[in-house]
Amino acid sequence: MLRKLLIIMSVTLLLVNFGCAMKSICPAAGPGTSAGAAPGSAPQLAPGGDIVTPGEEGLTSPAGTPVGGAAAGDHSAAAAKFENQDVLFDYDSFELSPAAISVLDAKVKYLKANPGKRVRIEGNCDERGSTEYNLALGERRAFAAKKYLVNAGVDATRLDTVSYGEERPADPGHDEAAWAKNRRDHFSVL
Amino acid sequence: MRLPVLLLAAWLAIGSAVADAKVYIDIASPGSHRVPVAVPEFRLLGPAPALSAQLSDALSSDLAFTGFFDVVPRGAYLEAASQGATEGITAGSIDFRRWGLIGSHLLVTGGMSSKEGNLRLELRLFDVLEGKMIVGKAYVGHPDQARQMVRRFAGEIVRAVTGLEPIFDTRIAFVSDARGHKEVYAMDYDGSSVSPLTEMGAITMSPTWSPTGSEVTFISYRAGSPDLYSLDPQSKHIRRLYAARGLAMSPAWSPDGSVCAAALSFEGNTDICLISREGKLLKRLTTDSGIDCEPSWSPDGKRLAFVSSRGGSPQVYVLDVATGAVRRLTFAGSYNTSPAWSPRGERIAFAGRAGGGFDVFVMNADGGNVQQLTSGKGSNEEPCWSPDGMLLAFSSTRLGGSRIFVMNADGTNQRPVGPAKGRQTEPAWSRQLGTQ
Repeated sequence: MLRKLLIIMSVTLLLVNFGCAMKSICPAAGPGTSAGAAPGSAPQLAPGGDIVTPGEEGLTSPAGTPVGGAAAGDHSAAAAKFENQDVLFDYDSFELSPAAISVLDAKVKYLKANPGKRVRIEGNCDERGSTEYNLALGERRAFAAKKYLVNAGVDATRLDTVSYGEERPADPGHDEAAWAKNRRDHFSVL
Repeated sequence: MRLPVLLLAAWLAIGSAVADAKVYIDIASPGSHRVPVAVPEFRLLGPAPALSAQLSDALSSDLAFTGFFDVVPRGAYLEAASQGATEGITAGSIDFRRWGLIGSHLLVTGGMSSKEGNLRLELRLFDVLEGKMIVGKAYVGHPDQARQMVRRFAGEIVRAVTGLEPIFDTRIAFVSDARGHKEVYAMDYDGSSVSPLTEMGAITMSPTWSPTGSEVTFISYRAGSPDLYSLDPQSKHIRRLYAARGLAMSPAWSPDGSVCAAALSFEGNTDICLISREGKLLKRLTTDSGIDCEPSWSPDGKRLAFVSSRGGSPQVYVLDVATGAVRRLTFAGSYNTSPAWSPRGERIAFAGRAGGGFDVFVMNADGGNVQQLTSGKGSNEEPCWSPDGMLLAFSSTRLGGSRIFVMNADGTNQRPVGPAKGRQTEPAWSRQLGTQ
């Protein structure tokens, strides 16, 4: 399977235009989502092709498998706690509740104590609602957390964001208990 | 995936006496009158491969699928008038009265024979009430192509009776996680000939066809976050159409194929934009602070129906592309999403929250006359129209897992098509692909 994927990727390399080296693995960089893009400016492919290759974490993970628990690298207790605490949201909302804010404050502490660490903020939704609207809502949630962290003094370039919409639930159940766990920002140390 | 080009040594129009101007189906209100048609078993005219029962059944199911026809069950047929004599397949040898007596308005006869190893299939459509042939064709080809011959004649019948281009050469793209993660697949309009379209190896979803059917555009996380890609279904050549800093989703090609509407995020906020065929961002159409996504073009290419949360909850709006003017269309219900503008122009289908899940609704293009088409168990979402505007495909969880369903535009005859394994979602119906 991996070999087949590599062959497909090599063939695709020959065919993809736009002059971007999209398959280069850059350990430090992620999809560039720094706060520099002004509203209305054209979102650009980050120059130099610094894009992370397709989720090697959870590439084929079935829905319901929490992603990000086994981030490459840091397994210290502080990092584990950082990653295991999700920021939770109300239905169809990206507002930060007081509980969310206290979780984020703890994350600010960790990030200030570990200045070398980069983080990916993954926005998620519960399964209700349309797939696409949920992608957009997840994006909103990821950005809400990022904005809070930046305002608290964390350097924006250390924070990547991505939305998984309803695609990567933490809990595969179909009740409010599960849904509440899925409406979250999950933080992965890169 | 695609059978080789139909080998036609001869294609005779058997004195096609096309009935003039008689209206068989009023396509403005098709649900109100389905035309009864009888399709007796095809006859063997000489030594021929023993295919007749399956072929006549295949023709019956193609016709039934469209929603235009009521196929008269064989059990209702009357015995032939003269004992021992077999009714023929041409007008002169048919007793139209006995077909009229069982309520049939149309009759299809078929005759098969062999010719130098090839199958010769003659098919004729008759107007029972007038006792005349409407259209007749003879097809010659390899016996493997019998099914295609039948589909082609079913198309002739649809053209003659409705004036519309048939859907028998259309495909439905959809998303399935049968292989462990979401990829894009395609199947024929009736769920047969399923084949994978993408092997991206990452979450891949939201397929949409270009107007000519030469491209399927979709979202994939191949590079880590949602970007837009385009695939040529014939060559399987993939190109990345748009790589976003944030997310890029909801691709929808304009009816003339010149631009792709999409939802792109800016600083976390998603807006409707236009992208050129070459992947250049041309214009940002919405700038409000709500989420704006899921654009669907009007058939004249001047307006987009889309979803926006600017009013406090997700609702369907319409945007004038030239002026940017926005008008809200849905006011009932707390969550309305996935608008799909009918190719016929006058109706918009959408999914509205109902109970715990969603149901498929249609409304006029101005928001009036909202009708609910699905109800009951499960969630019904993501409606999309057939290119003739007569059928709707959608995803439904009423059978447990998510399957693609098709129904007539008036909500009748809701039935599953395509695979059952895994979860199937996000159907996208191509236009006629013209190769069958």
